[in-house]
Amino acid sequence: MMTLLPGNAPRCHAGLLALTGVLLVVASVPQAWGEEAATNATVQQLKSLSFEELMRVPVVTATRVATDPFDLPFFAKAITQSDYERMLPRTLPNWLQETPGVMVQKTANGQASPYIRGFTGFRTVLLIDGIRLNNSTFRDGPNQYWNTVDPLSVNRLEVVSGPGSVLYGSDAVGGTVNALTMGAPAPGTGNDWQGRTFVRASSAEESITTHAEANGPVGDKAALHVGGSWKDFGDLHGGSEVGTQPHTDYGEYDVDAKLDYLLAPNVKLTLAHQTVSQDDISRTHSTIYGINWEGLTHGTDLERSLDQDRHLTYLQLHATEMSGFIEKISFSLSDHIQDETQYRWRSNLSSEEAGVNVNTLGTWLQLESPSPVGRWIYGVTYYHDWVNSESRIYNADGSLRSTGIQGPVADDSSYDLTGVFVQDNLPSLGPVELTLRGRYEHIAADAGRIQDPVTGLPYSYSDSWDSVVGGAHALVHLDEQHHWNAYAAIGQSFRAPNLSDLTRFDIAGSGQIETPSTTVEPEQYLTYEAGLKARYARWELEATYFYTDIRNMIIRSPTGQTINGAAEVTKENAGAGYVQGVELQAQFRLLEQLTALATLSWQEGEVEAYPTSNPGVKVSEPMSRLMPMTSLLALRWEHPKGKYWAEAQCVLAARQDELSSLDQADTQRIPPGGTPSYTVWNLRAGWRPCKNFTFSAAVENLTDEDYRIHGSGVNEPGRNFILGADLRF
Amino acid sequence: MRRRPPGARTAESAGPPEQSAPPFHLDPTTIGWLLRTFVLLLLSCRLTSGAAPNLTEYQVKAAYIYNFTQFMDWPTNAFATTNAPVVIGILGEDPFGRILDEVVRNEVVRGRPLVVKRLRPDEDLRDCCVLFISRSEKERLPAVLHQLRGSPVLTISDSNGFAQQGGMVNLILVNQTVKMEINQTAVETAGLQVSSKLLKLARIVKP
Repeated sequence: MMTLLPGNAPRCHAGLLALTGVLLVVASVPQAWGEEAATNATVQQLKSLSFEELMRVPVVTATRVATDPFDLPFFAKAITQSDYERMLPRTLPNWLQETPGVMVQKTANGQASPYIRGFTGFRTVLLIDGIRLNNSTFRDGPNQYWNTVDPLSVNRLEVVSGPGSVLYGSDAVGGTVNALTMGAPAPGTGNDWQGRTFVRASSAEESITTHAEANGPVGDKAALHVGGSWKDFGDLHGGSEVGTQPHTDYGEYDVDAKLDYLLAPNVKLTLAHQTVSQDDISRTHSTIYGINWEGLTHGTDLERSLDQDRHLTYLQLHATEMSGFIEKISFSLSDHIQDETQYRWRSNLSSEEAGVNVNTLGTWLQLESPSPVGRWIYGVTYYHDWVNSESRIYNADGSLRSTGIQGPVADDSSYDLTGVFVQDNLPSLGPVELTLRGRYEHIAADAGRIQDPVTGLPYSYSDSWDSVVGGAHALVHLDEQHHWNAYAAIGQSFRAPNLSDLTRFDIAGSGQIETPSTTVEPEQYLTYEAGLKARYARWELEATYFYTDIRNMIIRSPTGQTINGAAEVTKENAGAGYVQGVELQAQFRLLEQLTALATLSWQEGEVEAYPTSNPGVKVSEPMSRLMPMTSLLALRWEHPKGKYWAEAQCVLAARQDELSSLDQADTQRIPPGGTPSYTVWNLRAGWRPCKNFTFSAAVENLTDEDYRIHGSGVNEPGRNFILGADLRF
Repeated sequence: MRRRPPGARTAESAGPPEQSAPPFHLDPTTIGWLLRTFVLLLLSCRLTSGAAPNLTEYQVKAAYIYNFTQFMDWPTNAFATTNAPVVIGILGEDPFGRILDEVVRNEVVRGRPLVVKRLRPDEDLRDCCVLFISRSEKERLPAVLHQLRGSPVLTISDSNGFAQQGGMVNLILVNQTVKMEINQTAVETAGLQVSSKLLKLARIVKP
């Protein structure tokens, strides 16, 4: 088995290490922020268009001024449809897997939670067209919610690693991802209706994904997009040793629609809706179907599965190129419903049903104004959650034993986030560009029905908090030829206590039970970041170092009591610590059509925790589920006219044996001693026989290796043959 | 919330873990279906109208700039040497990313290679043949145009009112398509010549 560097990371074959070193000398991904990555086919198409043809082409406009990521004072990446066509990812989180600093953990086959710079779940933010997916019921640790966004409804992902609380509010600690959805070509351009069908099949997933969409004009001023996906995932097959991972199958269907209406040439009104429905997502690691691999244990439940539904409806207004002080206005009004039900059958045939329904009303207003003291971006945001949560326990014969006062979180509750933010991109001072930003947020929680852990009786609780955060970024152009940029940033972020922190009454880790807490305050973080970017005609390089100071993380704290044989834990602001890391990415054009790419991610961090059920013992230990050192090496070839392309890729991950006490206890997901290292070889290719049809194929995990992403509950697919066909008409 | 009847899966129906199956699990029927679908999709290449993926605003504007270099004549004194490149400068926030570089890569105009250069405000803008002035420079526009007065530099922007303020070519968005406004007086004052074919396609603006 291939291993990586000496020390805690595995050792490497000398040849591969040398290759990594050579490739890391050179360039980085040349993707423009807000712009579609230009394939050779696109470039040839652009060159071939005459002025007359250019005047007729309908264009897709960015909702803000597009900026080259080379000139951004932080690490940012745009992941586009070209990447989707190349990677053929099964889910939206999988679409992020090649991003430095990101680890896509999977508790179940139908669940995926990206760790960005050491943080996941409610310490990262996913936006859909600028609207928060996060709500007040998200629990600590990895969750399933990012998997409720259909990647086939998404045109582009914009990833910003690091603190984003000033612009995006609570939870934006590790990073923020904005999923920009598909839409129709512009109204009034005289274009006819267009359609698209897409099919993806995978052998190791036993899956079929089908997607269809149509776009077209409705009169002279409106355009409509409708789309839908149907997905059937069978049992996941691991590598040569593990084989079938039973009961990992599930089904999903998705629908999306968007209507754009031009109130004026520079004013667009959008009405959109999307629905995602997933059935029977089994969390097998806690059941008798958990796999035996590298000493893993599994639970005794007969079944543990999840049904998930999400519905988002929104109305947005975007006005650009306005005269007067305000140059740009964006407004959004949204209704977001997230509904989940968990079913659990114990070994004694008793069962439990628990569910949460969250209805979020959201609105935000963002304005942009140029001025003598810089370009201002400022606005307000407001989100209100209505939450219902319930639980039932059934006897072995199916009769109802009890109905809980609450479900996973308090029932009959509400939660408010109200924020005001401002950012100023100051005028350049010679080669230096400076950005200052700040935000004030007011948070209010009202938990209607909570079960008292001692008496079992209902009670209610309400509280509110205020948080002020700020940040500064500086970008320095190091040379007159604009080949080298350096940047430095300092930014605060925060995470307000949510209903899960305040009222969760559920299984926390293996063998523990969590009871509600009502004394917590907002977590606070301070991140320092520095980076270097270089760009030449044949090579590019980006290197980033970050350090996040963790001030008062809300951590599980043992009370010393037990409930039903499980150790009782609750929450308090007792976690101080840090996480630091390095992210490298480089690209070198070996020949006109041949490009070598490399990325490297390294992270290290500690946070205080209570490793035992003894409330008097607190230690500083490794952060839970920290990404092991990971490298991606790739060689890409593309036909000059873009008709064919091919890629060979190698992903290397070191062994991760820096474990928190929670990780060590979680032997259902993390093997004793840590998650083994792995080396995975992938081959990908594409063919475009005509301009409206694209065929992609991949053989992933060529050597059929058994491996899992650190902290996951399932192994990754073994040798996997993937086919994708995309037809546009 | 949907409710599943309790006991829907019993210990008997749950059963022991299944035996491992071969990792490559496509049966002949599925393979045949996939092959038939693939052949049908290939055939559809000839039958369908061939809608191309959408181009973005700045991909199209990059193509415009490339086309301008093909249709403009610069005076001989605009170049220091006979093989000096045609420099396309970008002043202010760069909205093109890589696309402009990729469109002009390895391209030649009348024997001169095309190169793209990002400029800082304190650099000499007259070293360019084409200068794209970003919207971020809106406040400084009068000073920039004054600096370039009389120089054979084709100025292009996509800011409101650029041509009316003395700029030469403005790329404007009309109903989500990119159109041209040309200030012919500004072009001729700079000693540049624009193809009459181009002038017929553009909206002529008088300052």
